Amino acid sequence: MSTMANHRINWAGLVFSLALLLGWELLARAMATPSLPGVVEVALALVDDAAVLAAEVLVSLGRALAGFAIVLVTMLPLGIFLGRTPRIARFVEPLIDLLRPLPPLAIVPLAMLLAGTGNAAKISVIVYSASFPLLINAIDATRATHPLLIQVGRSVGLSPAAIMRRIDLPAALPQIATGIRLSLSLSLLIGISSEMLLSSNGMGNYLMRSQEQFQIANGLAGMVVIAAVALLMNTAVLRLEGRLLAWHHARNRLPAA
Amino acid sequence: MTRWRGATVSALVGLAGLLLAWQALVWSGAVPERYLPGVAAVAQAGAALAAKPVFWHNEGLTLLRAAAGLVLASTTGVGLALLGARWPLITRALDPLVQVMLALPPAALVPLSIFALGLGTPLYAFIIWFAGFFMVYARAVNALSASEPVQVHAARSLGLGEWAILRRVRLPAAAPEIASGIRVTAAASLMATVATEMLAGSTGLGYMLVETAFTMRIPTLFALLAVAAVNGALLNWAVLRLRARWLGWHAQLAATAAQ
Repeated sequence: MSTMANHRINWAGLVFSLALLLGWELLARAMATPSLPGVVEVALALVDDAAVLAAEVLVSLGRALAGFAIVLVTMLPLGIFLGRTPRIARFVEPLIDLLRPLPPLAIVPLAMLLAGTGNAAKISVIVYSASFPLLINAIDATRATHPLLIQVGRSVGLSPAAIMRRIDLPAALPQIATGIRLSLSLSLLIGISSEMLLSSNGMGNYLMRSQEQFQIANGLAGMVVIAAVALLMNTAVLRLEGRLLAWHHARNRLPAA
Repeated sequence: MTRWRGATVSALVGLAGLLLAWQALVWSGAVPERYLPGVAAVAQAGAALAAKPVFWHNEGLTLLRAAAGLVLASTTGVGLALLGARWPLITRALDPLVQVMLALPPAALVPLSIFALGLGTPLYAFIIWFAGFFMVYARAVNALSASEPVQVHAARSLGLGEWAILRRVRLPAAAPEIASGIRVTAAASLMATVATEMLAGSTGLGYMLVETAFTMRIPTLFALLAVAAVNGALLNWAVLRLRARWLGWHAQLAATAAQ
C-alpha cells in the first residue's frame, strides 16, 4: 500500500489502531463477560502461552515451507517449460483452468481419505493450492519474454536448455517473484486452515483447541501470532525480492528519472 | 471464431487426455480401486447425486452464500475505498488494520466467531464478508490512488466538485482494476464458504464433502469435487458477465486504442 512504501511514521494509522485497541479494552471491561476478553487479557494469554505458541508456530511454518519448497522445485521449471512450448501448453492450460476454481480446502476430505491426517495430507493440500499462483505467473512471464532475446541466444549457439536457464529465467524473474510471494503466503494460510480440519498440531489445531476449551483469550492470542508471522514472512520476501531484483527496479526507474 | 474453435478443441483434447490417464491408472491397478474409482463410477455417483433434491438444496445454499458474501464485500469494500479517496486520512488511518486483517486466513476466524454469532446465517455472512472485504478494499484503494493528476486537474478547472470528480473521473478510471480485484475475490468467497461449511456447518457443499469423506463414499467425493470446481467457474463467469455489462465501454476503448 502507498503508505507502506515511505518510511515516515503513519501517525493517523497509529492513533486509529491505538484507539481501536483502547475501545476494545473499554468495551470488554464494560461488558465483563468471559466471551469478550480485553486487550490486556489477550496480551497476558500471549505471554503465558508463549512456549506452546512458539512450538505450534514452528510446526505450521515447517509444513508451509515444506509444501512451498515442493511447489518451487516442481512448478517453476514446469511453468517455464510450458511458457516456452506453446504446442504443449495449449493442451495443459485448459486443465489448469479446470482445476483452479476448485477451492483448495475442498480437497481436504480427499487428502484425508488417501493420506490420513498426518503431514502427508496437509502438505499435499498446501502443494495443490500453492501451485497455481507460481505456475500461472511462470507461464505468463516466460511467454512474455521478448522474442529478440531468444533469437540472440539462439544465434550465439545456446542450447534450448541454456536459453531457458540464462534468458527466460532472468527475463521472467520479476513476475515469477510475484508468483513466489503469493504461493508462499498461500502455503501458510492453507496450511493453518488444513490444520483446523485435520487437527493434530500446529496453529490451526491450537485455534480449534482454544474454542473447544472456551479459552477465547488464547484463541485471539493465536490469531495475533498468525497475523504477525504472515506479515513478517511477507516483509522478508519483499526485502529479499528488492535486493535480488535490484537490477530490474533500477532499470525500470531510469527512463522516469 | 476459428481461434475460439481451436482453443475449444485443444481444451477437449486436454480433458480427454486427463480422463484417459486417470482411467489408465485405475486399470493398471497401481492404486486400489477403492481409493481411486474409475471415470464411469464417478459419473454414476454424479448422476445419483443429481437425482437427489438434498444435493440441489445444498448446492444452491453454497452458491447463494458465496455470491451474497461477494456482493456484500464488494459494495462495502469499494464504498469505504471511495470515502478514503475523498478523505485520504481515512485510508491512512485504516492501513495498519487492513494489513493485519489481510494476513489472517478467514477459516481461522470461524472457531471464535461461533461464540459470538452462533452457527447460522450471521456466521456465514461475517466470515465470507471478511474473506472478501479487505481484498476488494485494498485493490480499490490502489486503483483509486492511481488517478491521473492531469484528468483530476482538468475536471477541477471545469468546475467539478470533489464528489463529482470522484464519481465521474476517478471511479471510472479505477473501475477495470477494481473489477479484476473482485474477480480474484470471488474465488476467496467460495473458499471461505466451503471452509465455513466444513468447520461449522450442517448444510452446503462443504458439509456434504466432509460427510461423504467420513462415510468413505469415494466416487461421490470425486463427483462433489467436480461440482465444487464448476461452482468456482460459475462464479468467475458471473463476475466476468457483470464486468462486460458495466465496463463494456472500457473493453471497446482498449480495443480501439490497440488498432
